Amino acid sequence: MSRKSLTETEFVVLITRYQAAIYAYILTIHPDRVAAQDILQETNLVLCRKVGDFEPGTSFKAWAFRVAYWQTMAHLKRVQRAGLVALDPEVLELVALEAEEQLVDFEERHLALRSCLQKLPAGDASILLAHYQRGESLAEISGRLGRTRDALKQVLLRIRRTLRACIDRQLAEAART
Amino acid sequence: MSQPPSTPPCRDPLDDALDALLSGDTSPQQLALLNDTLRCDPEARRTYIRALAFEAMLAREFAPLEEAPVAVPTRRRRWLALAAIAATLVLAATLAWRVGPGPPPGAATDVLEADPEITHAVITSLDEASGRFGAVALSQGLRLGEGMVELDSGLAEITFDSGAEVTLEGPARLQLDSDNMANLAAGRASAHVPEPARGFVIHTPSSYIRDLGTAFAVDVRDDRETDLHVLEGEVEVSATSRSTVNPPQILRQREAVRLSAGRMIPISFRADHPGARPPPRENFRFHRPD
Repeated sequence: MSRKSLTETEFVVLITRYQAAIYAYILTIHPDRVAAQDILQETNLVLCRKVGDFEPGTSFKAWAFRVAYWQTMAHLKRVQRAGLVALDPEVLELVALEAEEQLVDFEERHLALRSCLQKLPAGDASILLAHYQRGESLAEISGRLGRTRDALKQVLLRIRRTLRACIDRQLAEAART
Repeated sequence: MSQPPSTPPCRDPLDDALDALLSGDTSPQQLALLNDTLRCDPEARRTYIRALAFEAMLAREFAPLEEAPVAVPTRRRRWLALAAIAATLVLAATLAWRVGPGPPPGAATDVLEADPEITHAVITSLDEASGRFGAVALSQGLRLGEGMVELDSGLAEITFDSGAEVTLEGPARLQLDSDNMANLAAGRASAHVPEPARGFVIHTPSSYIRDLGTAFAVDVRDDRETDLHVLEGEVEVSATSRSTVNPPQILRQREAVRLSAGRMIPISFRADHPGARPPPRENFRFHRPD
């Protein structure tokens, strides 16, 4: 591409394609689901504002990650000033650096997860729904289900393992065919 | 399921610390452990990144597209809304990809013409219906995003973008969650779920129902009781309540249960369900010809 900037449509397609990956990248640096969602919003705004800076032909994902990195760091500074716990900044720098490389197959894994979720028993799905969609805490869900918090943690752990194993299996199958 | 392959000595406490991080209750000791291990051990960093990336996928799958463009200057607002629409298109394309060749993701030619709302479903027919979606009166062809359909009376057929068709009988309240999931807060509904939409979910105050193909009827009698009739095919259901949960059970054609207080009681099968009379559409059949 020799054009100097993206069209609106191209931009929308790119920013959409990488929303989940950008969110994942932010979450690795700032492991707080709600805050990561806010930072994603801020990142989207900066990407919109600075779309002229992006050079078509280079990696949009890498550019978006760079913007997300600075947004996340700014947010972390505020969190640290407020005295809330967070991982060491130097650790997070390492993580951020490596996350970018590791999230290369994120979209593929994300698609695999979707098909794995289809096979999840309804009981498990309802727990994920309560936790992730309705934002209920483990204490709330365990109270409602009449289980101990630890028992529920084990259930969530099992669900996560099952899904991750399923994703790995799907990718391995896809690689074979 | 398989454990992570290599097990360096610090793995178990690290796993615990990671789990604590994911559930949002890391102790100061665990935080110190995370800091130390992640600083020194590249394998631990890989584990950490994998776990968080997976967490991100789950979070986005279950709370997709919640980027409501709030308090954004008009021009940017439009950008974000467009991004959101494109995201639903990609999702739709993904669903299509599951059943067969569809338009490639990012076929965004229509994006700029589309209504800047994230939508999940459309009203495909109304029969003496009166009600609203948010502040808007229900009308045929109305696109529905995340939100509550409040049907005062009559019948409304809602077709989800996944292909699932739900007939709602007023008075009823149906909250749309996504292209393939809805919460029946009150009232009666039946769902016809074609193969591409397999996995369609209706949850109610006392149940979580996942379609395994192809039609079922739900009657939310009140906040504690839901009746489920399987009209065709199979349905997976768990009884939920504030204090208990049943393991999911598979119900088959012409089976019916009442879900209440976390329990599932068989009841006799009835055939008079919303949409069963009169069928809103030619292909809207609930009963397999015997």
